[in-house]
Formats: sequence, C-alpha cells, structure tokens
Amino acid sequence: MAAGATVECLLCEKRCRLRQGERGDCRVRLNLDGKLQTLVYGKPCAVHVDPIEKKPIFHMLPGTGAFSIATAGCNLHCKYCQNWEISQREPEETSNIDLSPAQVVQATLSTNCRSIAYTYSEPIVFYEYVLDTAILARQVDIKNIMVTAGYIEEDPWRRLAPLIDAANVDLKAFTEDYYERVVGGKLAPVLHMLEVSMEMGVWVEVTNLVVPTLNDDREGIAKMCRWVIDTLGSTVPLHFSRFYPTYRLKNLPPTPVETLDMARDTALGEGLQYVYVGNVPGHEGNNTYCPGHGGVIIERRGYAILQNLIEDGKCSVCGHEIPGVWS
Amino acid sequence: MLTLRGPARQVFTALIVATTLLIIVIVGIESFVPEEEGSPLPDIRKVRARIEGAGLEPHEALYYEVIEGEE
Repeated sequence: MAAGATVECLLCEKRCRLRQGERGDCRVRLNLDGKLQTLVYGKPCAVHVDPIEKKPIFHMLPGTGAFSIATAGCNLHCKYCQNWEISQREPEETSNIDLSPAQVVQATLSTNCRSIAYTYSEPIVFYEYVLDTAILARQVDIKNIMVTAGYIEEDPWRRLAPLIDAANVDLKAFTEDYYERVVGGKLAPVLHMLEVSMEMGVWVEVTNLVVPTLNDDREGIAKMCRWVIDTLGSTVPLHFSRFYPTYRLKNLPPTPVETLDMARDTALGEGLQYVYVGNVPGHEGNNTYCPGHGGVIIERRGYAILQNLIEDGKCSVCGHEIPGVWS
Repeated sequence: MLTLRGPARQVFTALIVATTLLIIVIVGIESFVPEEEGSPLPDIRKVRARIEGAGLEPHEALYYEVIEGEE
C-alpha cells in the first residue's frame, strides 16, 4: 500500500475520496499515509446524563437516565442544526475529554443509567467508538440508543444494528429537494436505513422537525406518514418537533403550535397510533395514549413522567399491548 | 445601406481593430495559463501538528478502501 495513496470512505453515501492529509465531509475522518483514520475515537466533546425522554425515546424504559455522549462532526449540514457548535466543527475546534469505551460503560453504571445514548451531533461519524462501546455495554445489560439522521451505508449499519436497542431517526422531510437544499444530503439512504433497522429488530422511533414554510405542508406530511405506515408499520412512534430559529435559519419564526397540531392530526388521521409533539411542554401530544381505550397511559410533563400505566408491555386499564422496550 | 464617412468611419474602424487585438491578447494569455489540477494537497506536517496539538489520537477507521494508482 502506497503511503500517500488515496482512500475512499465507505461509511456513508457521500463516499468521500481523500488524498493524503484530506478529511471527509464529516470533518473527523482523514487520510493519513494511505489509511483512513478517525480523530474522535474515545474523545467526546459532550457528556451528560439525560432523561431518555429527551432523545426522544418514548417507548423504552420511561423515566430512566441515558448516559449521553457525542463527538465533533456530522456528515450532514442542516441549516437549522441545534448543535452546530459541535456538529459543524472539526475535533480540533471542540473541547474534548478522554473517555474510552470501557470508561463510558463504567460511568453509565456509576450514574445508574440504564442506557447509553450516542447523540447530540451524529453518532454515525464516530462509528468505531459507538461500535466498541456498544459491545461492552451489551455485556453488562446496558441498552444502546442511537439518535441519528440515519445517513449510513447498509454494510456498516448491518454490523452495528444488532447492538442497538433503539434508534430515534430524524426523517427531516419527505422530498429529495429538501434534503439537498436544507440538509446537504439525500433522502433515499435514510429511508433505506429505516427499512433495514426494522428488518433487524431495532426499536425505531421517528422524529420530524417541522420547519415553517419549508416542510410544513399537509400533503407532504401525509405522504411521509403513509410511507411510515406502509414500510415501518402503524405502531412506530412519530415525533413532530418544534423548530426554533438558530444557526443559518434565524430568519424563520418558531413553528406555530397550530402547525404541529395539524401535523399530529394528519398523522393520526392516516392511521399512525403513537404520534407525539416535541419541544412544546405541556402539550397533550407529550403523552402516550392507549389505542385500546383511548386514555392517557404515560403522562409526561417536560421530560418528567407523572404517570405510567404500562405493566409488562400492556395497558393496565384495558390490556392492550403497547409496543416498545419496557424492561 | 448606412455608409459611414469622415471621423465616424475612423472611430468605427479603430473600435473594430481594438476589439480584435483585445481578443487576440486574451486568447494568447489563456493559452499560457496551466489548467487547474484540483485543490492543492494539505501540508501533512501542519495537519499532524494540528492533530497532536489538539491532543487527538488517530485511530484506524473501519469501512474504507484504498484507491490503487491514485496518490
């Protein structure tokens, strides 16, 4: 192998071709002497204990803590990124700590968290770190959660997915045009990642950030919901999240609550059974409703659980089975 | 048909000659400018120094291939 050879990264659809010293679109993987190197293995720039509801994951271990880590970098470039100060930065520009996979697992245990969430920026770009940490976590019965935009090639995802208990996947819109203009990627690879996730038994929840004027039309939302139902199933939780102006989209207003209500009503009307509204504390769409008797079975206020009527995966009122990971 | 006479004819002729000369000069200069061969390679010593300065430790990635014959 020539020391100065060009390499092609096969982690995501972008397939960056890198000459000596060049780094990929994600900012964290670079060619050094004809080998692709990651710069963020064991070097998180964000480490927190969060409620699992913050991810958001609503159908797995409600009320428990998720030990959450992120590194610099992302393979997408959303104009509204809430975490752009780490996702759109090189690791040389962020403040990182040393935390090996074993130390992540140890810290998860010592903070009484039931899961590790690979989150905030884009865990796909710290793939090797996630993989090694997830293997160790599994050995001590800690669950692994990916919060991701799902922009990954099939082979690496098929290798990682068996270790992932739950994934919240951002489905940012349902048009290639939006992905090209606002996100800096393509829609098709994300849809394929979702299909593979379901096939491999990963518990999937989908988040859609509703941005005024860009992806808030009823027909587009309905089309996305029909795809979710037809491909992933009607019991996949769908979270409509409220946009707040930030980064390069400061010119738009926050999403009106009425728009989120419209999106939720549309999704319920199409046949989805678990539809949530995020970033609006106190909204009725924060709660989980039983499709059997229609009442609230998990009541949430912010990230706190006020009431949980699920026992052994079933509604304790009517016995309806509620899909998710409950133990 | 419009016929130019006197000073107008001289100005018109001068404009045509000047434009022709300008085109010849531009084409000539263009032919001496080498074609762009992509962005220059990063200075690998600076790349390494920056990585080390930030306390980062490169770790070989999974999922890549070497492109034979390309440097």
